[in-house]
Amino acid sequence: MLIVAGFLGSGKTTLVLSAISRIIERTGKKVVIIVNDFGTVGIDGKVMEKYGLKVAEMASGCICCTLGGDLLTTIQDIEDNIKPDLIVIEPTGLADPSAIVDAMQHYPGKPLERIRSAVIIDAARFPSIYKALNRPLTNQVKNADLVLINKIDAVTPDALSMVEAELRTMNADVPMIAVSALNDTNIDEAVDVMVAS
Amino acid sequence: MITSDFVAYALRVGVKVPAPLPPSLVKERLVELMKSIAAECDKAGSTLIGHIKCMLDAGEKGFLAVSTIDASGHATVRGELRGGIDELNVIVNALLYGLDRCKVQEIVDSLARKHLSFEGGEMELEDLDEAHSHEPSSAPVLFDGIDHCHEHDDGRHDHC
Repeated sequence: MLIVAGFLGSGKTTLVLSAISRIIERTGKKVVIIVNDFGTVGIDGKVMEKYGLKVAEMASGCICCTLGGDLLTTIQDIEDNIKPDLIVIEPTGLADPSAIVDAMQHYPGKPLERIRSAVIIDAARFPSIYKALNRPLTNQVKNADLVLINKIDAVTPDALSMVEAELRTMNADVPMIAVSALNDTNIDEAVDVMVAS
Repeated sequence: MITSDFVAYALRVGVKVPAPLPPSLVKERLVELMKSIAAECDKAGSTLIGHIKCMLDAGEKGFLAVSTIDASGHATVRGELRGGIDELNVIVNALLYGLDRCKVQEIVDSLARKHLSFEGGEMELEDLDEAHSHEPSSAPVLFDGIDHCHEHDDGRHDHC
């Protein structure tokens, strides 16, 4: 299982569209995406379906708290009926991915082999988001297995270095890859880390 | 990352027009709608725009998803429409910080009326949160006794 977290508008959907298509092409894996949109009617899941991805939508709440029970049921249904090789969860931009990992400890089905989380950081808006939401953003990064610094096409190399340095103070040891999901920059490299065993 | 000043508002806009609209006009109006919602919320004192997005699903005629994340006047467009569009069914989600929900609703509704009005057309607005608040909702689930979204509300809200 792969959790793709990140603040609102950080580019999660764009990255999932780009990366998952590559994973399917490259490995032939059967991938199901669970999309949790905050709004009562989801938009991101519908967009992914339009691009041909297999999506289970969970709207009207957040899977790291109020929809936690529904998430476990949804995963069990997917495991029983689709038997995917990989489940990708795109939670709302407000979710704490570590809470989803905690929730999975209560999963009643066959234990999943591995749960990894990738956090997407918007390089262009990092200073303002960090200032407004310091603690939750730090938690997201601290608990991530992979940090993808997105929208590098929108910042200068100096600004990118500053973002990376700040992120390294939160989590020094994980891979950090600078990407542009929009321009397909370094997405192959990100996919390599996502699918690494 | 839901703090006490976080607000989410979801709206469905239904529009029926007497003559099919060119796809380019529909796209232009949706882009203007997203950009103007972000700009007005910013002007009204929003401390941080999270994501303002909308989707028009026109079935066999395609789809458009438009979004913006700030008041800079930039919007991202996905998808395309084909042929004349005689009925619009648009879902709008506004997620931001620093305004109360009634203010966001006022801004979004009035701008939807402005940008999605077409001559001779009929428009219907539906507050989706209100529509869904009458449905049974899941109870919060606590793992290890901890509510991980300690500052979350449950999506319910006071009506304006």
